[in-house]
Formats: sequence, C-alpha cells, structure tokens
Amino acid sequence: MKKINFDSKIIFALTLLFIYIILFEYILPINKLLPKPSILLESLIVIWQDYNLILAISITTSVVYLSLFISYFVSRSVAILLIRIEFESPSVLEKLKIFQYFPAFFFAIIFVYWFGNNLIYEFLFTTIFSSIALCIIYVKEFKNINKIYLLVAKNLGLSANQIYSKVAIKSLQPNIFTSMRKIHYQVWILAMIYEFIAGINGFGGIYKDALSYSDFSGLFAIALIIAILILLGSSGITFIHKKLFFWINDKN
Amino acid sequence: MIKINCISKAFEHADGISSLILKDISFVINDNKIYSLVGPSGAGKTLLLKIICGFNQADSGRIEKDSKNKILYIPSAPSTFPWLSVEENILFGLDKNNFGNIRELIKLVELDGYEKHYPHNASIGFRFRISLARTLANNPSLICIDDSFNDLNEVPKFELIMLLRKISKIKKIPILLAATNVIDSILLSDVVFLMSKNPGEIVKTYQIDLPVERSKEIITENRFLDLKEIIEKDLNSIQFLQK
Repeated sequence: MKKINFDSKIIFALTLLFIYIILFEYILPINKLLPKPSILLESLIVIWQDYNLILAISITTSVVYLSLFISYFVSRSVAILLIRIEFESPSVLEKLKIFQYFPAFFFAIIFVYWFGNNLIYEFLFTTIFSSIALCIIYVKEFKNINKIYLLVAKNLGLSANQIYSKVAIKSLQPNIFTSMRKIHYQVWILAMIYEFIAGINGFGGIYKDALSYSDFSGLFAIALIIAILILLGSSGITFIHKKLFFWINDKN
Repeated sequence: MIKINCISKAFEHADGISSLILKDISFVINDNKIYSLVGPSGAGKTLLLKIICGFNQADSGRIEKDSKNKILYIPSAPSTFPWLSVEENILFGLDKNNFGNIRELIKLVELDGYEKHYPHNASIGFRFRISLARTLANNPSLICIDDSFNDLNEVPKFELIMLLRKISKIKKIPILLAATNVIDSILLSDVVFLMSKNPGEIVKTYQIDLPVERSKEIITENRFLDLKEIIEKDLNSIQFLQK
C-alpha cells in the first residue's frame, strides 16, 4: 500500500515536471511567472560559483542543525522544570501564551538590531527559538501523557525528579520527534530570515544578493537546493525518530 | 500481616454534594494467600487498592503495616514502559545491587528468551507478565492487582491465573485482586470479599475451600459450581437492590 502511495507521488511529480517543461520551455518561454527550464538548469550549475553556495550551505546547515541538536538537550532539562510548574500550578505558563501572537520575524529583527550582523547571534537566535518551541511541545504533550506510567514509577519508589526525567520526558520523545520535523522547517525559515535581514553569509544572504541582481532563475535554483536540503534534514529526523523513538505510548 | 482498618472515603461533587464511596472497609491480609475484591463496577475496588497502595488518602481508618512493607500496584491497563526492553522494564527503578535474581524471575514469569524484546506491540498477557516480574523484583509485601484480566481471552487468562497462584505459593507473597468476574476470582483466590456499591462495603466474605493446586477442570467440579452460584447470586441481589 505504501509503495503504491510512493509511486503515485513520483508520477504526480513527473507529471508536474512534464507540464512545466512543455509550458515554460516551448509555449511561454518568456514570462515573469517561472523561469525557462533550460535556464533554470543552467542556473543550478552556475550559482555554485556565482554565490559561493558551498559556504552558504555550510553556514546555514550548521546553524540550523547545531541549533536543533543543542536545543534538543537544553529543552529536555528545561522541560522537567516547566512540566513541574505546569503540573503544580497550571495557570502560570498559560500567561506566557501572549508571546505566541508576536511574529518570530519581529524577534529576528530585534536580534539584528541588538547584536548586529554576526553569525554567532544568528546561531543564538535559532537555538533560543527552537528551545522555546520544543519546551512548548513538552508542556503541551505532557497533558496527554499516560498517567499510569507516572503512577507505576511512583509506586516503584522513584523520586519526583526521577519520575519526570526517566518516565515523563522519555515517554514524550516520539511526540517531540513528530513535532521536530515542523520545528526543523521553522528553524530553516528563521535562519534564512535572519541572514536576509542581517545580510550575512548563508542562504538568506544569497537570496538578498539574488534579489538585488534580479536573478530570476537564480532565485528558483537556490529554492530547489534549499528544498532538497530540508527534505534530507526531514528524512534524517524521521530516521532518528523511527530508530530511537520507535514505540507508541499507551493511551490514557 | 497487613490490616485494613475501617477505611472510609467520600468525594465531593462539583455541586457540593458529597457521596460516600467506601464505608468502613476492614480485613486482614496474611502471607501466602490470594484475596479478591468482587463487586459491581463503581463499587470502589480500584479506589480501595489505591488507598492501600498510598496513592489516595482515606478520610478515616488506616492501613496497619510494618514500615518496611512494600505494597506494589499493577494497574488494569498495561503499565510496562514501551521504550524499555523486557529486561530493562523488570530492572526499572532497582539499585544495581539488587539485580541478582532477575534471570530467575524472568524464568518464573515464563519470559525467558524474550529479555531483549520491546513490549510496545506485545499482547496484554505478555505485558502483564513483565509488570508482574517488575513487581516481584522489588520484593513486595503485598501485590495489588487491578482487574487486569478483563480484556484477555480465556486461554491466556487461565494461564495467568495459574501463574499468579504458582508465584504466590513459591514467593509466599499475598495478592489482593480487584475483579468483576466471579469465575476468575474463585479460580485465583483463597478468600473472596463481596463488595456492594454506593457506598462500597464488604458485605460478605467467602473462604474458597478448593484444592491449592488448581487446574482448568476445576470449573466443572461441583464445589466450584456451588461457590460460583452462591457468589453470583449474592452479587446479583446486590445489583438488583441498588437499582
């Protein structure tokens, strides 16, 4: 069944590609909607040199994945504290929800304003964002945790801290990794926004340059490379999820 | 010996009206015996087990036991940790110094060969065996089991009942079971307490004078059928009176 699904996705993608080639290579070669396929192909080759793509890939991927890696461990520790607060006085964290209405874009601008265009602060910004996002997921998912696990752990004589770290946080890992794919995507966007605003090296910086050169096909070629990188990152997260956090928790 | 002494518990509803769930529950648990609390759904059996295990506080009455006594609880829903293997589940919460008899325990609950398996896709019976071994690894003075057999098919249910009898005799650990099924209770227990509902009270106690060694054939024997008839009749009359 999964194979049929996968095949149908490939057929759909190939159909779109076919329509794109026919429409924009032969019927509408000059337009402002999509670049001509042959020019896009050419761009995919030249952008590596024109925009120093290797450096951009190294910078943005390092920022994104190092932030996710660090925030995963930071959020695990902070979440224990937050879950305890949530468990003991449920309304405290509720009040912090006011911040969810602020666009993350605004915080990126503020960071650039405060600290200037520095790679370290981009990394700090994405790490803070992903840590907060993961902590929110922990607190949210804790409400649906199977209470039997906590009860049994308590009965076996574990301390409150041990119950939170060895049982609560552990049992939430599959849910965390389900959300991690979404957060991964958001961190990519935010890293690029930061680079775009600050005009520093990385994909965001390249986009700023491509836009200033009005490099129409370049914009699309860069997007294609970013899409492939995000897809690879997402597949990596799925792989870790299936390999390390393979279980399904019992329902309450 | 663990003494349950005049346990009462009431709950207050949102509208301020209080209802008595448990009323003056008293009984004594001795070594090497299996006890069942049988009663209609909502009689407060689970609540009583939770009070005995220390999860809930009684409004009045007390549990008299030695401070060293460990009362462990096996919930009705599967309680194995799905991220741990069978062996890791059994060792969960133990000091490294107490790892000694794990092989023997795994063998006792008939899980040898499955030490490295993960239980998240396993059957309820398999997971119950893990919970049982984990409980035994902690050297309990009493095991409280909450209606764990309801979702099991006949064959695995009977195997588990016989396993519990065997373990109780070998380890000399008393077991207190909350059950809704009369046949399971008679098969497993040495003593059955019949509970009423609203409030939950022990209305009758039955000594199950069946042989210590029990087999499946016992359910066709006259004494078993007599006991079943008596308890079911009493249970039905409680349910009828409460309607």
